[in-house]
Amino acid sequence: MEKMTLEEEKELILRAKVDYQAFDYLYEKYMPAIFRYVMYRVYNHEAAEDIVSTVFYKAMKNISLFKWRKIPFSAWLYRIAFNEICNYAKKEKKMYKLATNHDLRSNDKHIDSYIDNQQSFKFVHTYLKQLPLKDQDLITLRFFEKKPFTEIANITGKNESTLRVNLHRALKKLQEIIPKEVYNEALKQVSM
Amino acid sequence: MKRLSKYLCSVNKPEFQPGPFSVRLKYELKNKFLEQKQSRLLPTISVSLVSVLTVMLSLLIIKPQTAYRLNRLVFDNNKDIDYLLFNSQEETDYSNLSSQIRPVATNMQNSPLSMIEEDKSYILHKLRDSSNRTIFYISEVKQKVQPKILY
Repeated sequence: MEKMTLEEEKELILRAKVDYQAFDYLYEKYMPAIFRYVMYRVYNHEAAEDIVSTVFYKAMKNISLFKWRKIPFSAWLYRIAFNEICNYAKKEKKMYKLATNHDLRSNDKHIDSYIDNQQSFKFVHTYLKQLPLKDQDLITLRFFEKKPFTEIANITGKNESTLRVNLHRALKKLQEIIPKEVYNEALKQVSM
Repeated sequence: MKRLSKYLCSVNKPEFQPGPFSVRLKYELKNKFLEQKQSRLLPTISVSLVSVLTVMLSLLIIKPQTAYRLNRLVFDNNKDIDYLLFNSQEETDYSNLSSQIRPVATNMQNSPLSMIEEDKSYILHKLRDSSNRTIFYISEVKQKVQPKILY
């Protein structure tokens, strides 16, 4: 997929309001990125498929309401995805509360899993899940999606300096959640 | 905090690929788009049809002649005598033809019928169209109301 300028993207969005071919082009361009982002957040293939479907259904349904504010279309899609992930998390929380035989992993098990899956994403995700949703989102976009602060600002609607402060606080919370031994072990890997 | 950031950057992330799901969703989205388009078209058609019918119906009630003319203008297949148009002649005064007003005109003076009081008067029209077909139609004669003389 070739890179588009903002003006070209604006034209394409205007066409997508009436023409499916234009929407299809946008879908082909952004679907893999949105899918990857949702997977990083929920880490469940079935749930990710459901969320991504809803994101694109909503985008198609409401594209006529989309107002061009010199912000890439992807930012809008990321925001829809974030809202859907929040809805999913709420449902999951309810299910978690309802389930009587859920298995709560102990910290020791986490250490084991860390040793098994050195620096694995799954390991980080386990701790990341314990953070508030907005912090999870910020860390995912910044470290896994490798987005610059300007783009994250477009997605979240916050300014860059606020985001930097928020990210710092989120990292601090994450550091507190991860058990010290595991944290030190993980950092050893980085310094090696 | 920098070390944690570094660590998060160096985490081995799995490469998530949508795979066949992407194609399936694309197909579903296309169907949904077409459904949406149709669902927007149907109410538009039905609303316009209903409004046209409402106009026609109100026209038929308020001004039947206009509705008839409109019908002829649109379809223009009626070469018959437009007898409905004779309604427009209702304003013509035929009352002087009535035997009540002009008994002489009826030629009933010597007939036994002259003994019976006339209740209502009608006019019988005989018309002939271009293909030599005949049509009769009867119209009621409106009797003139005698103005009351106030003393």
